[in-house]
Amino acid sequence: MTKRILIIGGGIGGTMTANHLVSKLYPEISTNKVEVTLLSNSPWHYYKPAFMYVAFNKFFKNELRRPQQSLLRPEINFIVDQVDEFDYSAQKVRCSSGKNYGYDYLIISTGCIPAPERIEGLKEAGDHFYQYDAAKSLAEKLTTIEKGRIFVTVNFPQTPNVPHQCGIAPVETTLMLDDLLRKRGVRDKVEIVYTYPTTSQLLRNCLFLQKDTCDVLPTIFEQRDIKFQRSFTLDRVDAEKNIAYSAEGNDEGFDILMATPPIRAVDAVKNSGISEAHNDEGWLPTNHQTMEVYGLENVYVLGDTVDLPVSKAGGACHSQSPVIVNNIASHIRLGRLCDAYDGRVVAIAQMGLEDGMPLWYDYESDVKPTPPNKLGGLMRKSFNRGVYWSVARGLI
Amino acid sequence: MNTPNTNIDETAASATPASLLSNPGAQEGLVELIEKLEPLLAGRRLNRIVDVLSVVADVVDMTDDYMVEKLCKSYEEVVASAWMAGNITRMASNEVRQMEQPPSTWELLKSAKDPDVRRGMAFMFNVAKGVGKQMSHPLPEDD
Repeated sequence: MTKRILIIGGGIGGTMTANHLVSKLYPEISTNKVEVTLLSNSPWHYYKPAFMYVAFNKFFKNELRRPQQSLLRPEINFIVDQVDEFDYSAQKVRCSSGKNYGYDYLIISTGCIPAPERIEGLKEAGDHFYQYDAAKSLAEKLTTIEKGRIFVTVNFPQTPNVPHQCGIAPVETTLMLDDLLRKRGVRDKVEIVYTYPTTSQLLRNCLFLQKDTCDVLPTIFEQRDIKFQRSFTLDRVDAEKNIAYSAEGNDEGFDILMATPPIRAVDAVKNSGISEAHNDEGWLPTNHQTMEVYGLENVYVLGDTVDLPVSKAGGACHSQSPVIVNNIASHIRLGRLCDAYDGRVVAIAQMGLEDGMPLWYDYESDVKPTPPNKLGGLMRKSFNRGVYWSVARGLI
Repeated sequence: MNTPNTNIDETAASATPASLLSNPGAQEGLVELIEKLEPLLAGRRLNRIVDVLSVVADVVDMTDDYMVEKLCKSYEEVVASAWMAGNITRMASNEVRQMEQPPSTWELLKSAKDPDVRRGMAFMFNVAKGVGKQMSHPLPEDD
């Protein structure tokens, strides 16, 4: 009897996991004992972190995407379809096309969706860089602003100890913004204000979600004349008057509101009845070590859809994916799981337009910030332009 | 009683630096090295070397068992493919070199009776099938 492994989601998590599964389980796949299917709602694979660069005119659309099929090993069945419903008890998913796909092992890697509409006025008056069209629209504003005030806000999910999308992105983009405006020669006429909410996972009144990095940020911001403000939890936005109101009772005017918006899981995951997340955010209850979904058999989750306290970013997927691959291979071959995720996240932060800072952390230890440098920036640029696609193919 | 011991300790403590600093060749080399480094220091270019060390250290810390496993697998696949292709090419070249005359068309066709030749041809057809399969997906429409 062929074991069917079904992966939902054609982002970096699903793609690298599908390729790695074929490599790991090749003896079984080559003898038809195992088959791997990847379901995605798009024939394109987007390098999502590059949307951030679109906002600074550093990437064109065709440079940040590839046909999904071209990134997959030929042994993988690739199907473009939208999952509408998970039927965990019957071990199948129902798609928009009307077709059902059964599975013996299910891997959910459906990412998350920016939801600015969850804060009054934010969708109308705010901008963000987490999707292509939104980033393109922000780029228009950043390349034409001559004077005024750019206000940066960060919005966390309301589920306790769950971070926003890509932890370091608000800092990265604030520094990139400073560099861009200096290059344009308008920095002295544009004020940049970076703010952070009162509650950021386990920390209170900080500027970042980890203390060591939070401690070095004031110096970095002061060197660049970037204003910063703690305890600004965005509550609502007056889109007519361009005023942002905080839950703490402050109000701040802006010309551009560059926000890290609220996020949520995709509808099918959110509606599957498994999530225990607050505010209908939809994160799946995830076993911190095995990456299984609590309460379900042979169902795994990785990437943005988890409710773990680690960054919702590709650098987390890269360490979670091999754990799932090893556990499924072990379950098929030995009847038990064999691997555990240690919370590791690896990334190279883009600290301004030129510099980079490699970073890593796990459940036990936080990021130890080091001075960003040009070589780190070149590493990040090389990753953006080439290495990423090897990672997606499961080669690195 | 303590005097001789103190003298011995002082001599032992200063032995190594004294020998280096009293060596005229070593001193000359150090001066030369510092002169060489001066423009790099002044131009802030020595910082780049420190950055290289930092990045090397970062890569060591960022690498984990999973990454090593994937990289080694890719390495083995590339080496195995190159090795197999090299072996086949060498053996085939040797066979052809030993022929006094090139085979006639009929002799070429007869060589297909050899099951290894047929297996090889089946492999080539399957390679063609794989190439066709990879190329059968048109570029998706813009979204």
